[in-house]
Amino acid sequence: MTRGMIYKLIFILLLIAFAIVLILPTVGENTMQVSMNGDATAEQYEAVKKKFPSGAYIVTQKGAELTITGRNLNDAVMNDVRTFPGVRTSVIRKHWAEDLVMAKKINLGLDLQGGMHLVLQADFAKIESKSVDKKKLTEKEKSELTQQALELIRNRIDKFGVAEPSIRPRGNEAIEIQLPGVKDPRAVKKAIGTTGQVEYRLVDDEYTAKAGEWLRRNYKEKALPEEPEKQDKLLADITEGIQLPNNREVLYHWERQKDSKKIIPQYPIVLMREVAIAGTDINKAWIGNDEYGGLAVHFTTTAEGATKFADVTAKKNWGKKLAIVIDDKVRSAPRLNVQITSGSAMINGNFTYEEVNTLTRIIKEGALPVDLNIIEERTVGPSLGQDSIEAGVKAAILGFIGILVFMAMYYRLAGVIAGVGLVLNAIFQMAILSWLGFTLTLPGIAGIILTAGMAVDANVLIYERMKEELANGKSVRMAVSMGFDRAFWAIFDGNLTTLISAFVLAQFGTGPIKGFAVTLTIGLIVSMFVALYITRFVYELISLNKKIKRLSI
Amino acid sequence: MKQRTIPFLKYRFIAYGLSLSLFVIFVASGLISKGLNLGVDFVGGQKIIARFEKGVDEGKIRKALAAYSPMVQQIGEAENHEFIITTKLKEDSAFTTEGNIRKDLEAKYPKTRMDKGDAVFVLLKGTVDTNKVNATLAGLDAEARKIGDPSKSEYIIFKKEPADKKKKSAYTEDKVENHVRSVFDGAEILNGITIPVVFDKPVDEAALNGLAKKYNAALMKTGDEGKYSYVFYKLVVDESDRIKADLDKNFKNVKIMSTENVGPAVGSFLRQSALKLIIVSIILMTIYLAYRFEFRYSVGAMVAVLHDVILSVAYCGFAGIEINISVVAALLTIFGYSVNDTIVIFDRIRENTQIETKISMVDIVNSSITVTMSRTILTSFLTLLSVFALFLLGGEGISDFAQVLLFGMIIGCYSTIYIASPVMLSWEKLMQRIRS
Repeated sequence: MTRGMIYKLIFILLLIAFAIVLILPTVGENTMQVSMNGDATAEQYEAVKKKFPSGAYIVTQKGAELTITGRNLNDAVMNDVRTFPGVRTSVIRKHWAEDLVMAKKINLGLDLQGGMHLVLQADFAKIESKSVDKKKLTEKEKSELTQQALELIRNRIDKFGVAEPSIRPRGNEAIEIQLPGVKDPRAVKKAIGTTGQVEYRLVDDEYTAKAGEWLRRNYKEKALPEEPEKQDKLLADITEGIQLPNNREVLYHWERQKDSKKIIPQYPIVLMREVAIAGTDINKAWIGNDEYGGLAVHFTTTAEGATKFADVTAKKNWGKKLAIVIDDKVRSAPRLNVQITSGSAMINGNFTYEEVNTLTRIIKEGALPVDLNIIEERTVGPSLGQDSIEAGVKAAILGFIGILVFMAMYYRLAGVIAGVGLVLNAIFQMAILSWLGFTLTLPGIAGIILTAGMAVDANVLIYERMKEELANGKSVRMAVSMGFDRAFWAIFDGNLTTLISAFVLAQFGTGPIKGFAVTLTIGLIVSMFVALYITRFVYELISLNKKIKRLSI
Repeated sequence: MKQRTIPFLKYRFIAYGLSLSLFVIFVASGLISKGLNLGVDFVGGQKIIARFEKGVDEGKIRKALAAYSPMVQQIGEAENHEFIITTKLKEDSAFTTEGNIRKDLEAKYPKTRMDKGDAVFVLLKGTVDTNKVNATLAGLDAEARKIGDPSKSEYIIFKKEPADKKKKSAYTEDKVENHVRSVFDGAEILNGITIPVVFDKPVDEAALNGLAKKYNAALMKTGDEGKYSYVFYKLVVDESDRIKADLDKNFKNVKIMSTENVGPAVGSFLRQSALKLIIVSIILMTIYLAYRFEFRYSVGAMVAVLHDVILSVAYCGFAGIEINISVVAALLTIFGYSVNDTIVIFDRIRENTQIETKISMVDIVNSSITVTMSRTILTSFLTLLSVFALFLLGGEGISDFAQVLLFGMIIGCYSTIYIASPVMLSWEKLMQRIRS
């Protein structure tokens, strides 16, 4: 063996080991932590334990924490458990391979793990018909409105406690929502449809300063956490840390990022629990300018609201800030410096036009910036998903065995080598899926099975060529080398055309089919690598033996 | 070349004839049984998969849901009692009702003023008296009337002319909705369509009622005495909710496994993009083949591929397979796979044309097909093996997909041999004749 070949061997072995580690979180066992409420009853514990029968799972209890180990623990299961009475929260622990090599459990599509898929279409026609000059909205305006609506929806779904939701724009006019494990579409539809909560509450500067101080001392991360659970945890920690009185509450002040357009928490802010003015006290809101020419939201209150407003803006509160809280997020906190008794006022504060627009809409009706209609709705029950996985795995195993047996019979040793290649192919395919975070769907499993058939094609092409060369009287070494070289272009061109269709399919965009296109694409690329690199290497090793006169083919 | 060469090209006209007759048979039998069966993905509608108790069969479900004229089909193993219930969007669906009524009105009463509908439909919790609802609406210039099921408190709230004629109406949809939500606990805002019409002279109310009935809508007179204003309205109920409720009413222990609800906009969007995808693939592949080989090869390959896809679609009609997104994916896969097969032969033909300059093109093609024959059959057989496993065991979501793929691949194997190369040769002959 030459030095180059030894390196090649090491490289191939490392690659295989790496791929196997990558798929461990998917095919191996996982652990889920279920935290029960302090006052959960014995029946409630039993109900959770019953969901995980002892044949397939190991459940251990330590205080109010249940630890569940087993396969088939996915986001849908986690979300489902969260809806059990007595359960505070549930989290799937990271697999050790995830920390080691950035492996991830393969995302399962909703068709495999169960859940709800919604497409909401923005009703721009309504806005256009209501606008004064009946102006058509530009594509940019549409996309901005959709983006804002998407943010609001995200907030509401976050509040709902669904883990791993996927909320994406589809084009400029629609929003696609995927919620694994959600069984009751009505509850979610309601959460999406309800108007946002707007309220106005006074800010406590003293405690806000304390909260900021506490954070500086105890929280060392650069930015506030992104995960809702961690955000809530931090708020609870601050509340405890600064010994906040019960009539006050700490929330985050959120701002919209310039680049990502996302709103993210900036700093903690302490508010009085008492709602000074409710959203329903506001009568009308419109976009205008402040005295410096900046954009501002003008509004008028109802008669009742005017009294409340006069009260809040009375001299005793001058210098204090009044926070505008939208869905439990402080979005703006202007300082009070004049009493307003007329029931008409404005909010200014370095806003962009979109922000003023959203704020106006929210103040006005506490609603989404554009009405959304559900145009597509799909729910898959968890048991159907599980059945589909089982059916897919069964079909895959049968398909693989069929091909392996046939190849071994037809090509003898060469067939076995191709069979090993096929297994490697499947491992690499899964590894790439998990590493790049693609979603596996039922058609995706079909893609894996189909590529198994196509992957052997490369071997068949090569072997047939080798046979021909051997029949033409070439030596084993020559036959191997020419077999691979001559088959290369046929394999490459053939796979490339299939890749073109897979690529086009991926543009189709709807979940399951995209999953198919993805596994097909990965499978084709991987199969070329396995056939032309790894199998070839095996044959190079075999033909190292100069005495070999016959190939088992 | 020591091997015996099979004169494939000799049989090409038989092959053409075979393909054509296959196509005719499929189309004819497909047409007899209603033509292509487009799934809810493409036409919109609902699809529910539900598990029932023992003893339930397709007929019983169909009877219980007769009002929706659903398609019911048992799936999976018999002991599971699982059924797919599909209802497609009908022409008189809520999405089209409004447009239809407006069109009819315009045709019949050209000078009539038709406003934009802005009535609100609400469902109040418990029993609420109409007078009570109206009492709360003072100041909003609105009026509520009870509609629908008498046992439920369903109301339509619409714009009323203000008492003081000079004042602008205070009515807006949003205000009414917010008002109802805040006054009545647990009030639900329902979906519905309304078309307010104002006539300047008396009209035949019976005719208007007939028009409403034609589209399953209702009509009510709104204005005061001496005015001729009416509102056409129709509650839009989520059909899948209604079907689910009806299933629960008629059968014990129904377990809904999955639901799909696709609106008409999605359907037409998907239809368009499916078509676009197929065209884009054809263009991309033609370009690639023309670049890698020569244009004549492109022609041969594309004709073969189109042959496969068209026959596969015809087969769907013949076998009654519902065309849904997965089936389109299968068609596109057939597309790629069939070209793949063809390329292997073309690759050989090209190689041989470079080596053997003395032999005629026909002989080169024949011998190239012959030497790649074992590979073509072997590969197709192995891929078919895995697709067959999918077809057998893949479950409901995948079996149609696998069936189309199975058919397409067999056809693809045949067209690779009998269509692609002969067409390539014929195209060349045609070109030569044009040139000379």
